[in-house]
Amino acid sequence: MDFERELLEEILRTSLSRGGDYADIFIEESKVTSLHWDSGTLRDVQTGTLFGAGIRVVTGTNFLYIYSGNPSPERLREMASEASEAAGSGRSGTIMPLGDSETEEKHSIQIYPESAGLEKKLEYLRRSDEAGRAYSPLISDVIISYSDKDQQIITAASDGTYAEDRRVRTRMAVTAVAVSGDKRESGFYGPGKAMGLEFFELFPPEGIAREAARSACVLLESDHAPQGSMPVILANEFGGVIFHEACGHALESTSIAKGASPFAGKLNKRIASPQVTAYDDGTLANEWGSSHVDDEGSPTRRTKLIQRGKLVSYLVDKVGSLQTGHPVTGNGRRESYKYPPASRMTNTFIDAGTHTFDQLVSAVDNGLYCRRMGGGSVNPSTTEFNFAVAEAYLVTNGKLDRPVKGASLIGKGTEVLRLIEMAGKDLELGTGMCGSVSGSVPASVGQPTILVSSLLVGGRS
Amino acid sequence: MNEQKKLSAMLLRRIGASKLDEAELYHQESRDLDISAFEQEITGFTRSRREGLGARVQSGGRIGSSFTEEMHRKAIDQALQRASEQLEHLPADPAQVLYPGDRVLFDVSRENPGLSLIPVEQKKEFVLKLERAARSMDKKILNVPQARYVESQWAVTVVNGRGMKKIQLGSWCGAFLQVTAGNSKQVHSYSVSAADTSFYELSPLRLAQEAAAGALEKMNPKGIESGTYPVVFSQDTASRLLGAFIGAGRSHFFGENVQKGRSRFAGRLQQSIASPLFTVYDNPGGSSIFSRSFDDEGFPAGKLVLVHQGILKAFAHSIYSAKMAGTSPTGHSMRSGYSGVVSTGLHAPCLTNGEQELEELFDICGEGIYITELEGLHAGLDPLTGDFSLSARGFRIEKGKLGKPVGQCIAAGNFFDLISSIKGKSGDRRENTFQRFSSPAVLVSSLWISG
Repeated sequence: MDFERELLEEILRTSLSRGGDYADIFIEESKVTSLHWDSGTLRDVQTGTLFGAGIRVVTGTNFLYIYSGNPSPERLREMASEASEAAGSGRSGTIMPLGDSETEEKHSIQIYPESAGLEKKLEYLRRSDEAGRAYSPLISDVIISYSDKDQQIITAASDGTYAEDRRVRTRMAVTAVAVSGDKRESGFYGPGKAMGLEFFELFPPEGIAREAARSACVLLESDHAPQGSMPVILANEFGGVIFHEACGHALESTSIAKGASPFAGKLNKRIASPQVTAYDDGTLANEWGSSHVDDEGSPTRRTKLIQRGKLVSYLVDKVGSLQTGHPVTGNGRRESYKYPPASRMTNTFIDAGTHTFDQLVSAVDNGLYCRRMGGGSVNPSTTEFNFAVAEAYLVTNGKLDRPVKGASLIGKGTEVLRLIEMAGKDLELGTGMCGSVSGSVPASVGQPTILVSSLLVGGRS
Repeated sequence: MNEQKKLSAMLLRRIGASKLDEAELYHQESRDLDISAFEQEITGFTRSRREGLGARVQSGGRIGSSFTEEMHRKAIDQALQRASEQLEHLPADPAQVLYPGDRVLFDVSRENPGLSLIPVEQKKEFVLKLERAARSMDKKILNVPQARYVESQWAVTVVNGRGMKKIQLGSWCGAFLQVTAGNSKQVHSYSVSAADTSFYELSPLRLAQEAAAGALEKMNPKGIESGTYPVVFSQDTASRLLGAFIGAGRSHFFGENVQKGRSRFAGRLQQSIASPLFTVYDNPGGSSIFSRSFDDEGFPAGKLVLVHQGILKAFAHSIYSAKMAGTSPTGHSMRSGYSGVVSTGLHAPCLTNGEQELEELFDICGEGIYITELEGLHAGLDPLTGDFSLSARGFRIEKGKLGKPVGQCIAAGNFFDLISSIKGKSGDRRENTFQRFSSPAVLVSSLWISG
């Protein structure tokens, strides 16, 4: 992408020419590849380029956003005129000279996906398929999705912000199907990182398939989960989806600004058990939700959200900062130029505690150990959440018992945060896609293994 | 139309130059508007012009695919080139053929040009009125976190090297409203939406009444003892639950899943698979915003009965799965826009109406639960096994009448058991929503409820 600074400054001036306090422009060019492997063969290949731009004008705490593909200089000028017309008349904000894009390289890429041919990527799929099938004669099918994205962005704003960033992400997701008699179950594992193809050195394709196959085989042996309230141990890594849903979304300034979160006005108040210290950290090297700057050009940072149970920060984008008065935390994110940015999580996790896994299990008489979680969702207004449990085990008299399946967990974030009794030492992050007002963005969730004293389990026995 | 001629000519050149059997371009463009209000101010206003093009090429039983958002000739040629470069890596499969096309079709029947003639100020006023009406419904309404108007005017064109040109224009508008109600001890939230092809069919007052009533009725909920209960699903929750199994990519009603050995209905055509009350068809010619004249490969889209009175009648087929099965396509090739790959999908499927009033379903139910909200459908169900476990809210049904609200609980069951245990249906299915699948309220004999 090559856009002259003079052009960007002109676009910002035009955008604010009839009124508005602040304007910014976001330009994106993304190259994507996705491969879909099914029934032992390559089924689909899709490659392509996303190329577009969005102009935002903020007046007071309100915004207007105009976006379009094909951002030629002429089209950008048209968009700026359209934005200024829509913004209406009023006082125009100051336009600062654009600064420099100063980003220290934190997420270095070894093998850019575009530099490798399709054959190299296919080799990963074949290896994964073979390993999944070889795991057990019960495995009847291996379904693999591979995706990579190389996103280059430029953002410039009337407050002088100018930033360029390049985000490269690679992910492989495997679903293994296991069959025994008339029983059929599937297991899933789908890690991803802000890396090029060196991702497969960290996560060999065979290992991803074996983990999905292992989970599918366990489910074949599983009875239905019990129902009712009970102590629940949530495993590390993707278990962190509980914090993401139960608390994280309700800390986004989008919800705080409208008073539509029970955590609004609760800064420096206790909202969680003293076992809970939590962060959002978009700077973690090559982590799935990391980037050098957010989609408003603000540097990403490590934000402590909860300090031993006390709420110490929200997740704040630029408009959210204007609305709430809280400082920007580098969390203005969006799926693409097709969305105006909003406050979103990056890599969000509960920090490690002091207990061993055995200590957590031995503390439970009768409960559930959720080894692998599926997705979840939350209503930020009430913090009522739900999660699917992909793989679980009963805990009986302080010991892991037989596997169970088909459960959901529900509760209220405001309550469950206070019920976290123990946190383990084994902090790990897991890979997810988070959907919200500004689209679907890559976000890591994480936690050590934790013990929640009571959650409602919705099984069928 | 000149643009389509140019695209066809470009394809013919590419087919000749690269020794391709066939090539196809899928062009999509839209003009979209999204307006939000909060506390009687327009807080968000987004307007866009979107355009993109998906290119597919076919040679020797292989189909390569690429897309671009750059609309100049060089970029389109590059997309065709990238698709062609994939061919050598793909396995040969005789069923991999592009649709050769039937006739030129220019369909504007779903376009409402009036939408663009309505001034933006009138649409802003609609959102403000929506928010104002919701706030003024009751003293216990605490907040209106979402009041939003959206609209889209779109065009899809599919052309190939053999001269197929199919153009479809459409437009829709809709509204989303979320309210919270409560007091110092409790807060409850309720969301509603409506979608239509006509702006004037959207009623801010009706939406506000529905949202406010939904939130207020949830006040002072009671817990429920865990166990099994007969359940009445509301129109909305039945639509969402049934749609998640019947209309989603891993549907057991799709020919491609039969061929992959992932359909429980394989080999069961003309056999009973569900309750006699279970009649499901796809009606692309209806009034839903999802109605279409042709599918995403250009094949004509017509009504398809999947299940009639519990008897399995047909599977939905794309061009590929039909060829694999040795049958005719049914017009159900679908892609998620120009950047998506082609697979199978339903346009505007539905469970047919019953003849009972909702109150009659409560009466038959006797003692049970009326479920009005379901959450977690994206993760809490397993398309392969049919098992589901979902967050739910609703009301007790006591002595055949609607009773007290039930707080958040979990409803668990199995899709195949559920469609066999349908005991009643209401007669008021709604199509004017953002749900592709539409269903009347449904009574089923038993689900596991955890409370």
